[in-house]
Formats: sequence, C-alpha cells, structure tokens
Amino acid sequence: MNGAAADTLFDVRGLTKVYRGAGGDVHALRGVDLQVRRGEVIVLLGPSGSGKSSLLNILGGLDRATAGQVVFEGQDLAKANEKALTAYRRRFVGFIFQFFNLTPSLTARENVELVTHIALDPMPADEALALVGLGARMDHFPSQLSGGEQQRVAVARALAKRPAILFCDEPTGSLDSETGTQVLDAIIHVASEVKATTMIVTHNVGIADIADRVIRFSDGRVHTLIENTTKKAPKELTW
Amino acid sequence: MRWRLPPLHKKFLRHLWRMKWQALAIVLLVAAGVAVTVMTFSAEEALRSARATYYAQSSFADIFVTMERAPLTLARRAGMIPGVTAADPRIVANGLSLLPGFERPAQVRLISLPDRDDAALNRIAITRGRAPAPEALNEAVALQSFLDATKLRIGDDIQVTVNGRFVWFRIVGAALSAEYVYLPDAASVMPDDAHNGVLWVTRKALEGAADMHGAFNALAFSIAPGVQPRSIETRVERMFAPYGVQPVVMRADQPSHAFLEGELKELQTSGTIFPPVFLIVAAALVHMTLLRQTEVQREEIGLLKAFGYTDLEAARPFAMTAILIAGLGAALGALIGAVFAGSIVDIYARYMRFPALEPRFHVAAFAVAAGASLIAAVTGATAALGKVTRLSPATAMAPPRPDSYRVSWFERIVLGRSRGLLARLIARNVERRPARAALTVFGLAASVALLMGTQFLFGALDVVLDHTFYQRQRFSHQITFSLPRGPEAADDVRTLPGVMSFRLVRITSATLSNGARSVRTAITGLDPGDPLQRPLDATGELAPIKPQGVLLSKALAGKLGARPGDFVTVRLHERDRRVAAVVVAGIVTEYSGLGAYMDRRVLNTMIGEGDLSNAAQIVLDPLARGAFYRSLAETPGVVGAQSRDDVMATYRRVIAEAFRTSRTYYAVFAGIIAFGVAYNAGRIALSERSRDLATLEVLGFTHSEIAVIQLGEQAILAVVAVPIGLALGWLLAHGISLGYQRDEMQIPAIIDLDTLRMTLSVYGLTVAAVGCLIAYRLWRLDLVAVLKTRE
Repeated sequence: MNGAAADTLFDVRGLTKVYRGAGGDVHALRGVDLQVRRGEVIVLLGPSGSGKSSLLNILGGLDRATAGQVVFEGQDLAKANEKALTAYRRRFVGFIFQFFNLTPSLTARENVELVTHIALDPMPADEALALVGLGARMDHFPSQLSGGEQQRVAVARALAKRPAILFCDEPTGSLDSETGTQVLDAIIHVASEVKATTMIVTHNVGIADIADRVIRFSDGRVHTLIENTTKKAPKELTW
Repeated sequence: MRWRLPPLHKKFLRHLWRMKWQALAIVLLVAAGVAVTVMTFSAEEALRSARATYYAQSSFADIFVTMERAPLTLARRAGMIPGVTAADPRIVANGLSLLPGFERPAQVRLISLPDRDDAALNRIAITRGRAPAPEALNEAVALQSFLDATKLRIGDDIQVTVNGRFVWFRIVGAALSAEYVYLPDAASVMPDDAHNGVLWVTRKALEGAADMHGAFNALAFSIAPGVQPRSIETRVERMFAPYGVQPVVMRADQPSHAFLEGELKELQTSGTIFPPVFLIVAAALVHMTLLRQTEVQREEIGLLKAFGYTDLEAARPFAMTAILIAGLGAALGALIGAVFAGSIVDIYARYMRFPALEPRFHVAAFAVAAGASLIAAVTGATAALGKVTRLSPATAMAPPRPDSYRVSWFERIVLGRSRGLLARLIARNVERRPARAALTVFGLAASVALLMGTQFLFGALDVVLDHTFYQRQRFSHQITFSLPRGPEAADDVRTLPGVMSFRLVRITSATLSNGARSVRTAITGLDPGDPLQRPLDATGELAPIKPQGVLLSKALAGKLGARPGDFVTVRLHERDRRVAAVVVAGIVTEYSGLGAYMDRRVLNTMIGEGDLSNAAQIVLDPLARGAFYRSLAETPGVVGAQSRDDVMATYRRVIAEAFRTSRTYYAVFAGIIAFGVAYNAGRIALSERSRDLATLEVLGFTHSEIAVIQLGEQAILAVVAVPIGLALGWLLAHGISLGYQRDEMQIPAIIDLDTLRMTLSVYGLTVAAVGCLIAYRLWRLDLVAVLKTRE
C-alpha cells in the first residue's frame, strides 16, 4: 500500500446516481471522481439539486449509487448490502443534520449515550458534552435547550463514537450566525480531537473558509475543487 | 364549466386515503358492533315471529293440566269457566320403544287426537302423509323430527310398551306441533330426537291402550285476552282435585315454550352486552386517530385558516371522517349481521321445528346500532374538532418545538438509576401520552375480555358435565317406573342383565315455598349413604342426606331465598297432597335443574305411603348394554331409560353443531377489536416517531434494534392489557352467566385452562400479526426523505 492510498479515506470513481421517477429520470450525479483524505475538512457547495446531498447520502451509507464505486477501507460501498451499510454507519460514520434530529424523550446525555451504547470505542457521553460546552446541561431534555444547544448535543452525539468520517448536512441551516459559528467551532474542535474527516454540505459560502478543500457542485458534477490555503477558524468567520 | 371537487374535499379525501388502513380497522370495529346487534336481534325476531305465527295457526294453549283420570263430561264444564275460550281434553301416555338400529329404547309419548279438529287446541300440522283415519286403532302420525332421526318411514310399524302392554301403530304421516317445537331430552335438556318421540293417534286407539274409556288425563285451555291465568288456575285445580290433578302448567313453563323463551333471552343478552364494547372501543380509536391527524396536518390547518377558511370549514373534514367511518361501519355491519343471522337461524332450524322459520332483518335494532355508531364516532372526534377549532393560524405556521418530556415519578421509582435507555424511551413515551396509553390498554383489554366472556361457556360446560355426571352422580343409567313400586322392585332391577349395582329412588313433584316465593320442582328421595348420588356442597365436600331436612340446589335456594336452617313449605302433588314444613339442611352445588333431596323413607312418610320408589339408578356393565335395553323394552312398567354416555354424547354433538358457529363469530369479532386497537395505536406511534427512528437508523442502529424500541412500547401495552382484560372478562363472564341462567341449566362463570389458552392465543396471534405489519412499515421507512422533512 503506497503513501497516497494510505492517506485516502474515500476513493470515489465514476459515481453516478439516477433517480427514476414517473416524470422521467433525474440524474443527480453524473460520474463523480474524488479522493477524500484522512483528517481533512471538506466543504461542499452548490445550488439545490446540484448533487452535493446525493454524494453525502451515498458516502454516508444512506443511499446506494447507480454506477461507479466508492472504496472505503478497501470495501466498495456502492456494492454493499443493507446490512453492511448499517454496520458501516454504526462503526465509522457520524451525522449532523440541519434539524438536529435529537430524540425528544431522551436527555442530552441520553441522546449521546444512545450512540455510545452501540459504538466500539466511544468517549464517555459526559466528556463529549463537555467538549461541546454543554457539561452543565447534560440532564436537560431537547425541549429545554435552545437550537444551538440542541445542535451541539447532536455534535457530541456524532463525535462521541470517534467516527472516521463526520457528515454535516447544512449544520447551521436552522441557526442564526452567532449560534452557527459556535456550532461550527464545536464541530471542528471535536472532529480534530477524535481525528475525524469532516464533510460539510452547505449553501452558505461563508463557511467555506474553514475547509481544507472546497468542492463546488453543479449539475451532478464536481465543478471546481479548490485547495484552501487561507484556512480560518470558525470564530473568524463572518456571514 | 365542468364541476370540480372543491380543493378542501380533495384534501380531505387524500388524507383519508393515506390513513385508509387505520380507518378500515375502525370501520371493521363499528361493523362488528352493528353486526352483533343485527345478528342477535334479527335471529330473535325470526324466532319470535315464527313462533307467534305458528302459535296462532295451531291455537297453542295457554294453560296445561294433567291428572290421573277424569270423566269426559268434566271437560265441557271446564270449558265454561269464565275467561276460558276453549278446553281440549286429551289422553296422554308414555312408553318405551326399541327401534331397529338403536341400542337404547326411545321414550315415546302417545297423544290422542281430538275428534273434531276445528275446535281443538295445539293442532298439529301434517307435513307428510295423512292423519289417522277417524276410527283407526293402529294408525299414528309421528313427530317429524323423530322420523327424521330414526329413519322411520311412512308405512313402517312401531311397537310401544305402554303400561306393560305392547301396542303397535302404522305410521301414516309426519307432523309438527307447537308443543314440540323444541323437544328436550329428559336427562340432557338437549334435543335427542332419535330417543324422544311423539305419536298422535285416535282417541279410540288410546282409550284402549291407556285404559281411558270415557275419560281423559290431560286438558289444554285457551283463555280470552286480558284474563289473568292465575284466576283460572285456582278454579281448575279445585275442579280436578278429586281426580289426582297435578299443578297447572302455564304456557311460560311449558318445556318447549320455556326453552324458546330462554333462547330469546340469550339472544337479547348477547345483543345488549356485546355491541357497546365495540362502539366504545371504536370511539376511543376515532379519538386517538383523529387527534393524531390534527398534529400531522397542523401546518396545513394553520395555512387554511391563514387563507381565510373558517374554523368550521377547517374542522369539517374531521367530522366528515368520523361520520364516514360510522356510516361505512353501519352499512358493512348490517350486511355481515344479516348474513350471520341467516346462518344462526339455519342452526336454530335444526333444533326448533317450525313450519316456517325465515330469516328476518331487525330494522329497529339496526337503526339503534347505526345511531349509536354515529354518536360513538362523533363523540370520539370531539377532541380533534376542538383542537382544530382552537388552532390559531400563527401557532400552526410556527415550527413545532420538540415534544417536551420529563423524568417521571414512575421512571424514578421503577427504573431508578438503571441505565437502560430502551426502558427509559418506552417509559417516557407511555407517560408522555397517558390518555392514549390508557385508551390503548383499555381497547386491548376489551378484546381479551370479550374473548374470555364468550369462550368460557364451552369450557364451563365441560366443568358442568364433569361435575354433574361424574362427581355428583355415580350411576350410568336411570330407569323410571310408570307407577311407584314397593321393595319388590329391587328384585326386578337386580335381575336385569348387566346391572352391577343400583339404588332405588323416589322422585316426586312438589311446590316448595318460602314466604311469598314458591317454586315447582321435583324432590328426589335417596337412601342415606347412597354411593351413587353424592350431593356436594360449595366446597366440593359430600353433603350427607339427613333424616330431617331437605338439601336444596344453589339455584333453587336462590329462587326461594332460603338459607340453611330456614324452614320451607313443601306442598306435595301426589296422593292427598300433604303440606309440611321442612328445614333446609344444606345447599348443594348443581348446574342443571332445581334439585331438592331428602331421605327416601322420610319423603315416603310425608307423601303418606310405605317403602316405595319410582326410579332406579344403576351402574351398568358397558358390555351388557344391548341385553339390558332389550330386556327393558319388554319389562312392563318402565317408561324411561336414561344413559349417561348418551347424555354426554348429546351434549357434545349439540355443542359442536350449534355453538361452534357463534363461538367462531365472537372470536373473530374480538380479534377485530385487538387488531383495530393495536394497529391504530402502532401506526400513530410510528407516525409520531418515524423521524426519530430514521435518525436512529442513520446513526447505525439496526432494523431489529429500532423495531425493539418501536414495538417494545406496543408490546408492553399489549402485555399490561392482559391482566386487566382477564379481570374484565371474568366480570363479563359473570354477567353472561347470569344473563344465560335458566332453570334447566346454569352455566357457572368458571374459566378453565382451555378458555385461557384460547383467549391468550387468539389475542397474542392478533397482536403479533399487527406487530409484523408495523415492523413491515418500519422496514420501508425512507431514511433520507424522513431526514429532509421538518414534520
């Protein structure tokens, strides 16, 4: 195994996704090639329907490709069955959603425990919550937390399992700028702590500055891929 | 312009279509409630109207009197008692007849036909063949059911032993009779047509056979409308007192009529107790389901209001859903009820011989049930309607906050500091919506209760049979003598083939009274320590026959309101009709009849006669049955022969034929409740939590783990419902046991292991099937779509 391959987390080749519908086929991805490196932060930009969420869903093991391959740790996710995808998500993947998706009947701590419970080498839930600055609010239910706090619980939940890859789908989409910054800060902070690769899908161009690489999607293809040489900390962002 | 459905209606129909399976489950529940009502009341009306028509056609009598022997001239005088419109004298004789193909002799009743048919009461209806010629001595018309069961045909001869004489008749016709619409076997109270026959012969034929020249021993009366039968009773009894009159039998106590009444009462009981259960559960489901819909459609409702739709317009679709569910349920229920009523009437037709028993449709019962369904559905919808009306456009448009939960006292106490997240999730979900959880548990419990309350009858009947024929009675056969006999009867019985042991008993009819209450029954005189008759008390201990006092069955004691130590008045009907006050020595457990037991010698002394008996109870060698019966048919003075095995076989046959259908119906109906409740509760919970569950799946939980979370709550509710349902079922069983109570037979509210097994397996399988359906829905959850929607 050479150095470059060892450094690559995902090797995506010719990835195609076609949604077949009554109104005709929709080509969401039209042959995407991409290498994702270990530990990097990637921001995916692009208008609605450009294919960025489809890519995220496939890499995240939520959806399957129509054609092409996605090699992760020597396994082609494009060929994996439902069971294998569940195991993949369970072991390697962390998710952060636009609408937080916390379980309302569980406290912050219990929401994190929900995931650490099934993880192989998790950090304690208390520790994960402390890392996102919620050490004092661990026993609150989601309804008792603000939007930003809820999203930070989601960050703790995603990263407490020490995932190899963290997918964030519009993580600041439901938050104001200041809260959004805090959440991004928590994401970057904890992701580096657990050495997770991070992929953020967003409409928000302002977020792009925190990335190592910025990928712009358009019409189901990678339009541009830019190495960001002036990477900023989330706190330095303005939007 | 082409007419188009208004958009609000389209929306309504689409929402309804989306919840079609849930709505269907409720429709089925309503249908079951309406169907039970229609089924029972239609069957009841069919029986009632067939009976009324037949009674009118045949001039069925109002009062029946039997005596030892009275001169014919007296019949005309009896007809002139004020209020009496007709008095019809008859000769009735009982005998035994051994028929080819049958081991045990049939008990045959011979009845004289009136000389003039037009004036007669209880006229028979000839269905095949003809009536005997007016002066014929050896022609008979037979009860049709007897011919059918014995395969005797018109033209066959039948020999009967009457009063020790052999008489024979040629069967010339088959007939139905209002007196024998239902002919219960003396021992089993169930129909045993092959062993119970009636032959109508000319008066002349029976005068000779029964030695009744110029006399009669039975008199039937009809009375004018509005006349109190009791006023006639006294006069009749006085008039015939010198002729050995037996107590007057009112139509209400006539066996066939009383049985029909019992059936009608049972149908009414079923039709009154069960349907409300369905409708209440249906209302609960409408409540749960529509309330959930207000949450699902919250934003749409807000939007409609923001557009300017009125509260009423916004709420109308919910009201319409409820009305539609009630309407469809009522229509479907009418259909199912009519079909089921038809099949029940078919079963009745096998045991109740009417010239015409046509299925009916009880319109009024249907109207009441349909109205009740509508009320139930609309009541169920009120909470949802209120919520839609109160929803302000602004709150409806705002994104929902996460549902607020808290750590409950229940969780603190029961789960403590345990870290089982699953248990917590389930406990909090249940506690968050306690009303819904309670309704779900109540609905499921109702189905368990209904299963138990309808299925226990069959198990309880086994208990009754075992108690009556094996624990209480230890003899296999009983023979009845036509007249009381002295100690020499023992020698005759002893010499019958196959008799291993026997005891003589004295059975006499009497009226027992306690204060204003009085009951006509039979007292059985037993020898103390009779090993073949073991009256048992409530604890199952032997209640010994004592020289003083009478043992009363629980049902009889209940009717008399008598307790041990009380004195009851015993009016004997035999000989010089003595009256005595007798102490109640004990209460014994019995499930059939209104039994009373005394020391035989004491009873004989009371009657005023010596050491007499009129029946023998026998333990017979099973291998000698054929010889025993053959010799019985040739023994003079034996008018009845009962066999325990035959009674048991009759019970099993009738129960298998007659009750299996209704048992299955009720099991299906109860299953519908369990299904409707579990399915709706499951779907509602799934709809509330689908986003939550999809998140878990995205986070790497397996399908099975998610299924445990989702179905765990349902399973816990289903399990909690079981003990509650069993308790309710126990109450229901008591109610049914009371409602079905008759003099001939009491079915105790005993729940045996089979009933429990049946109840739990039907319930368990139904709930498990719903679990599979919900799991299937869970499997099909679209992960990505769920994550993208905000609810």
